[in-house]
Amino acid sequence: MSVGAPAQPGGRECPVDARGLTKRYGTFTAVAAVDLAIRPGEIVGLLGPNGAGKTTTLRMLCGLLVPSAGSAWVAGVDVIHDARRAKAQVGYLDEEPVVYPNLTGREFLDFVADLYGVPGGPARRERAQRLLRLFELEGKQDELIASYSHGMRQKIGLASLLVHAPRVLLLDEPTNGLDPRSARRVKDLLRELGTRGVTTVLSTHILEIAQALCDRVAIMDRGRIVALGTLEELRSGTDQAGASLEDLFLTLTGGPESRLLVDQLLGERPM
Amino acid sequence: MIGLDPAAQGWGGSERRGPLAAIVVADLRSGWNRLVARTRTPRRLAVYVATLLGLAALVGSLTYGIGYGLGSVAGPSDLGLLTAALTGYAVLTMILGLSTVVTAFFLGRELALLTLAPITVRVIFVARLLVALRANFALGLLLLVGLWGFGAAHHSGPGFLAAGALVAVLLPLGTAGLQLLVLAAAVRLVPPRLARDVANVAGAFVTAVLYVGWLVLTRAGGRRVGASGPTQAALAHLASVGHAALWLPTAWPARALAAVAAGAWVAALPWLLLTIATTWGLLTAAFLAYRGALVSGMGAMAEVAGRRRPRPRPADPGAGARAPIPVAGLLAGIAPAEASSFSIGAGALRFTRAMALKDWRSLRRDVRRVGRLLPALLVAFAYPAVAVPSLHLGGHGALGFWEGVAVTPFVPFLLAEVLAVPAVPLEGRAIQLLRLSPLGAGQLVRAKIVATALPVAGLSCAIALVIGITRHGSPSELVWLVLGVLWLSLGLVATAVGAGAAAPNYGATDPRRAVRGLGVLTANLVGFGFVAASLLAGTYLLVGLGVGGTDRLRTILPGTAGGHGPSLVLVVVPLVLLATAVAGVLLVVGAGTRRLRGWEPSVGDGSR
Repeated sequence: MSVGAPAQPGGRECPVDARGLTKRYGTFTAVAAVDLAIRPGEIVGLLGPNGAGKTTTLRMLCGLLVPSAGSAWVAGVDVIHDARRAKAQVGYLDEEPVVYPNLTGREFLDFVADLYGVPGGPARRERAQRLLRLFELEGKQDELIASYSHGMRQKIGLASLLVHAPRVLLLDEPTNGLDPRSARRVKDLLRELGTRGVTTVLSTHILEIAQALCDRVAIMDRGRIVALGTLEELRSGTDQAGASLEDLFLTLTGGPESRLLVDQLLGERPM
Repeated sequence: MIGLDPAAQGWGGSERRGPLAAIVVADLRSGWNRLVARTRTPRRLAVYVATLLGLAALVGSLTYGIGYGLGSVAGPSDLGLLTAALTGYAVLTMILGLSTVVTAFFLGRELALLTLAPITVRVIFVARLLVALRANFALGLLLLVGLWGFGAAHHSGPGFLAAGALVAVLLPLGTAGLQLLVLAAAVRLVPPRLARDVANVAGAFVTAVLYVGWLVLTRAGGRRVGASGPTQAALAHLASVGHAALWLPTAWPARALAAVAAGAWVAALPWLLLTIATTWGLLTAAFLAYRGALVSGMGAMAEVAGRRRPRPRPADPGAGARAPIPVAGLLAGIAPAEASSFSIGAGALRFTRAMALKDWRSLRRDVRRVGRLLPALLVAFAYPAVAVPSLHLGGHGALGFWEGVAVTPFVPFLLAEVLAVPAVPLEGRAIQLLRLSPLGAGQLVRAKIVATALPVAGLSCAIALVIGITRHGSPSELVWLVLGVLWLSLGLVATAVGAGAAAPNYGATDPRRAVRGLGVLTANLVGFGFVAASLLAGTYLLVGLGVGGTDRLRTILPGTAGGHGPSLVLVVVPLVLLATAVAGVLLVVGAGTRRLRGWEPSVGDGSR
């Protein structure tokens, strides 16, 4: 499915622009010809069952995986042929945050800043301090990350993404392990960043987050985008006026069959 | 819930296994699955198994030979030697097997599952004991083979072999009981994970100390006792140590074996019974201690009773507890619109400094990695001092000062093995973070080389200087020595970092398994070639420059025997050798860089 693809690939009007993005592992196709064009400041949610290809798509967009076919641009830079410049514009958060457990929170942010060439000095220290405060990690900044809870690791991972002020955020389950207050904070943050022109693509299993936060959602199934648009567009596309995102999701990803299997297992229907 | 009752579904019946059998089968199956997944193809699995069997046969033959040799030197019923051997075995097993025991009894993730299941603690204890005994029994098997060799030297009958087999079973069991008793007490004070790491450090350290101790013992013994050989002297020492340890329980099986060897079965029986009773007592006490630990939840959840909590920090008035945080205000200067544009990637120097700092901080805070480094440092310092008999202080051999410092390349070789080979693989999952950054794979490898070369070269040069000074080197000789060690350090570190990056195992939870065998082998082989070529080139160079008495080397260097002045050979040969050495290093670094460049996270765990 191609939605709003610009005439000029990777143009400024689309900070995230993927065309025919495909990833194969041997004979298995994890992602099949995904087209995605996202406007500046837009928040797009990738939804889909486990193994639908959400993480693989995000990893291709951030340059971590080389696509088997297709092309991708972020912030107007070709991810495949100019990966280094593209990476400088992206902040990617993995489902399990990647951190150094034997560094303190502050040391970790400092290291990531060096990794992305953020100049040292008072401005950088101030930036790190604000990020720590933003994620309520002040007071824990000098403790080893090894002692952090899962939610705190998620927070320091999120904070590290913003150290180099990326133009595009690619987030795999960003609210994973966060308490409701912190999850709310992340939602507020993404919205605020959106108003400042930061484009976000996030994958999530929590439909409520997608419904409340995302400008558009892309529903993936078996490596393909089976639907993309605003909630209204999806409803009209599936002839389900007034349907919730959950209903739409189940309709588009084969939900009723799963329901039947559960019923059969419980012995409520004949097998 | 309707339809989910196992009994109603007919899942039990004749196919139902007892809980112990079910756990053991699951353990075996998961071990087998792990092996199959690691080797990937049947052919590789066959090669792996054949290699393991070959190694086992080799180690077994060596142990048999050692046992036979001991038996040939000692009398058939040498109580001192047997006591020393069995005590040494027990101590070694106690320390080396400790991490396996703590993992099996206190750290396995499946423990929570087992404690929640409706099975007795006794079943869990036996199942975990079988897992924990793997290391102890592997060492016990070696003990058995050694005892059989000992018996074969004296043409002992099957009675000695049977008694040896019984001892080889009882001793690992008793040691496991003692280990568990110690650990059940230890986990009340420290987290099991820390206990395991400390056990690993202790194991590595004791091995290094024993190695150095053996070197010292053989040299000191050879001089003091005046025996026909250092080995005999060491044996005499060992036997005297054994006699001093006759009061220990480990002397009881030794007494039994000595009595059996002498044909006195009646005299052996009480000692054997005493050994069996002690083993049983230790296991029973261990079971009771473990049951207590499980009941209090420490084993299953890897928690510690009475663990110290971090000191509460004063409340941050600025944080305002539950007050809403002004997201928009805090984002000022952070969002790209307000942020100044940064350069793509850090400057090489700044990034290398950051990498070195990060690695240093991670190293000193990681008990397991410190545990690998300390024994290596011990050996690196001690080996040059005690390993080479001709290196006694001030002694110059036929080749003068240079013979006296010939052992110095060993130092950077060993340090590079410990610090540089795992430098890239130890990034683990964090390799993803590095690959996400705008830095190229080449930059990352170069930064790792520089960051690792600094400590390796620094330590190696310091040790080389100490050795050089104690060998009464002249200032010019010392300068050449330091320059040579610096060269070797850089080459060896580059080789090791490249080889490690070419064969990483980013998914390894144990730092010792972060590098695949091929990486270690490549680092060793190419590193050895680099040292050999460099030393030869250096020798030609020193001879060519006529540095401090190197004229004597002309007698052994091909093509340099005639005349004293510089010749074409003295210029061309070192250049060719150095070019070859550097080419080898660059080849390995290139392979590592290519592998890193092509790295992609796997679908499942983010590492491959």
